[in-house]
Amino acid sequence: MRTFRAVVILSWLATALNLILFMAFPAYSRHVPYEIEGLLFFVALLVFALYKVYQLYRAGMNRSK
Amino acid sequence: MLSLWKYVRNEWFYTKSAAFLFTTSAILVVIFVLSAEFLPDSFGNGANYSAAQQAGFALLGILFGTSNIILLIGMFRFWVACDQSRPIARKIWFAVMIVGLLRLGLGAAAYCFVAYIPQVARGFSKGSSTVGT
Repeated sequence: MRTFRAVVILSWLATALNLILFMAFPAYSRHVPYEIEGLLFFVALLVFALYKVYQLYRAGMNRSK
Repeated sequence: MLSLWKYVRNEWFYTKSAAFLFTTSAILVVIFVLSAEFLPDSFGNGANYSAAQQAGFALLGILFGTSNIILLIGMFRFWVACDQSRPIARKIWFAVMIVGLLRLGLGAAAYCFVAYIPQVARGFSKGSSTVGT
């Protein structure tokens, strides 16, 4: 669970960092295609959705009878 | 959404009003999803109908959205907090509901008919309006 949460946070951080690099350093965008930002955002959303589903699953399977 | 999730107590799922609400929602979801699958795309297209008919379709759309939300939140909440089935059955039903999201509440409707209603009806046949937790 902790690892999963770390992956969620890292994916959002990567998205934010990429956006900041794009805006702050024009040279960065010459080397990295701008579609990367959309891809990172999509991956971060997907990972977050999976994390919530896993959280729900754990809550259901581990509840006390 | 979160407040809806925590709005009702677990015991409420075993009442007749809850059973009626979820069964009605499940029937509506099945009808709407199947009609969306099999009716031609031109069906319900505003250009072909009068204003009154369009209003009718709009109301049906609202009903469809509401019944899906009620069913999805209700069935996931029941699965998490109340379901008394064996663990393997619960795992399978969770997968069915998640995969069923591809057709909105269709998986939750199946869960409602096969798992929720029998468990709740067992409580009714015992003569109590509430069973379980």
